[in-house]
Amino acid sequence: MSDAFGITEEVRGRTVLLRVRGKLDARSAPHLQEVGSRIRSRKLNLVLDLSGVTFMASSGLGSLLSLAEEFRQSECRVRLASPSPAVESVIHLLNLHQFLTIDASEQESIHALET
Amino acid sequence: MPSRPDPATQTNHALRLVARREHELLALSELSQELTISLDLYGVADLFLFNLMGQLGTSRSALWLISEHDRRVPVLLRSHGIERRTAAALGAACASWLLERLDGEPRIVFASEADEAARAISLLIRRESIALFAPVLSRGEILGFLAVGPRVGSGAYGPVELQALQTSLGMVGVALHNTKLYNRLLENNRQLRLANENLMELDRLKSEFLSNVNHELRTPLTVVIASLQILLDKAPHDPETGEFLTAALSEALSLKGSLENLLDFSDLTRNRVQFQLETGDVASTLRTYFEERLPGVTHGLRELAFHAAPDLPLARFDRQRLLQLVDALVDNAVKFTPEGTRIEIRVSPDEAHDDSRIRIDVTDDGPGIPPEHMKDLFDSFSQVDGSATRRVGGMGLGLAFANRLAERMNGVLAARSEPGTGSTFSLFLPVA
Repeated sequence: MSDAFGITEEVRGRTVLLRVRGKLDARSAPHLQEVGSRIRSRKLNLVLDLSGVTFMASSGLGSLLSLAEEFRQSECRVRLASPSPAVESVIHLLNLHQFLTIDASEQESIHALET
Repeated sequence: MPSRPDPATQTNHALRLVARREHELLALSELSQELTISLDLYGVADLFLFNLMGQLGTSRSALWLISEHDRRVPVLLRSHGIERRTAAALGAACASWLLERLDGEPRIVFASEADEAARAISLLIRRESIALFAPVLSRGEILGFLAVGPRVGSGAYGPVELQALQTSLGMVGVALHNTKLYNRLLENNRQLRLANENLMELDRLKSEFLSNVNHELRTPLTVVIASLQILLDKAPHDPETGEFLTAALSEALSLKGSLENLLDFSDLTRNRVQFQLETGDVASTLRTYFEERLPGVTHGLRELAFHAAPDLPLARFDRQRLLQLVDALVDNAVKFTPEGTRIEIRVSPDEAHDDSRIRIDVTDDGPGIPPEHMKDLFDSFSQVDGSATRRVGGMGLGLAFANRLAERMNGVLAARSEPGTGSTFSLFLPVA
């Protein structure tokens, strides 16, 4: 799998699905944060499909926590879908399962937000 | 006596601790590597805060710098997980209380210490779920301070996390200090270049002035020379009168020669202000400008952002004049807003006119312009605060100058503002 960072965006009703791929690190974290904040300001829910993330640095995790907090304070919701092993191991290490809402697939996340 | 955990549990616990230390070391390594690359004040703040949040497992953080003008008013650089205006207000409310505790002995200040402080500060810190504050130091001097929220998954901050935090703070202190110095250097270079351009313009004006004066002097001199020649040609003269007339004619001819030399010189150097409208890419022109202007604006503790829509059509403009115009708008935004303001240059198609024009917005989230001042905004010598006590210097020519430049490029300059929210100046340029 390529390490090059990229995001694709797909709108499903009141939810935006962002598929994140490549390295989520100091270079890409501000970009993910900006895209996520823009979706929140449009008052839409967010699903982050992290199955394509090949590496997550500390900054990458920081941007996920920041987005989760911003959505928590707003009327919109964010869910993480099918995190790759690189993401899952860091989330597990820091016991973040209770703070970050994680689903096994993007369909599950979208279903939870759209119903 | 409590029973000892079985060996498998002990091993798992030990492995988990090792993994946690590895995570912290990797985080510190990422921070140290990336800080050597980033030379943008806001980029450094983003990097530091995201890295720290991921390292500690917290969802809230903010970083302020101490203003060189007023230590009691901190300038918010970045906040994550805390709304920007809330973070700015939090910094302003806590600065004096915090600096009192940090000045004697720079250290980590826990939120619980605020319980002894004024009730309002304590309530604010609790409401915003701040766990601790810490100073950012460089060479023993407090550059700013940091606030972080509680850890969201792993209990309270322990000695290991606080040690890692101190290490990160040390690195970012050096990086912020270097970035400030670098920005100052780049801004000084830009100011020198502008001063040089101004000198060249003054030189051109001097030549133009000389040329005008020259013409004014040459006409009467021609009459003087012709009259002297007629008088000399008329015979007879007494010898003394002839001598005076010859000397006068000789000096007049010499003066004419000097004037002609001067005229040739000023013609050579004269270069009247002309607009060279050419077809070009506005976005790339302004991106270059943005990169050059960024250090100076951030050095003044204002954020400058640039955004260009993709696939913009080409436009007709004079590159040098466009840069002067946008620079006047950015200068205006810097001059009339407080530190901590965000200024954005945005290039997009003008959707209201079927994309037949390109729209360049310079937006700030400063105090805005009162409605009664909007109508004479583009007049020469007009400033919103015309009082003798106004805090911003300048003659009020910036916006009038920008408006003239826009008109000369067949463009339109418009402004809209909402007091308390900010202002946007929009330049519309025809597409090619």
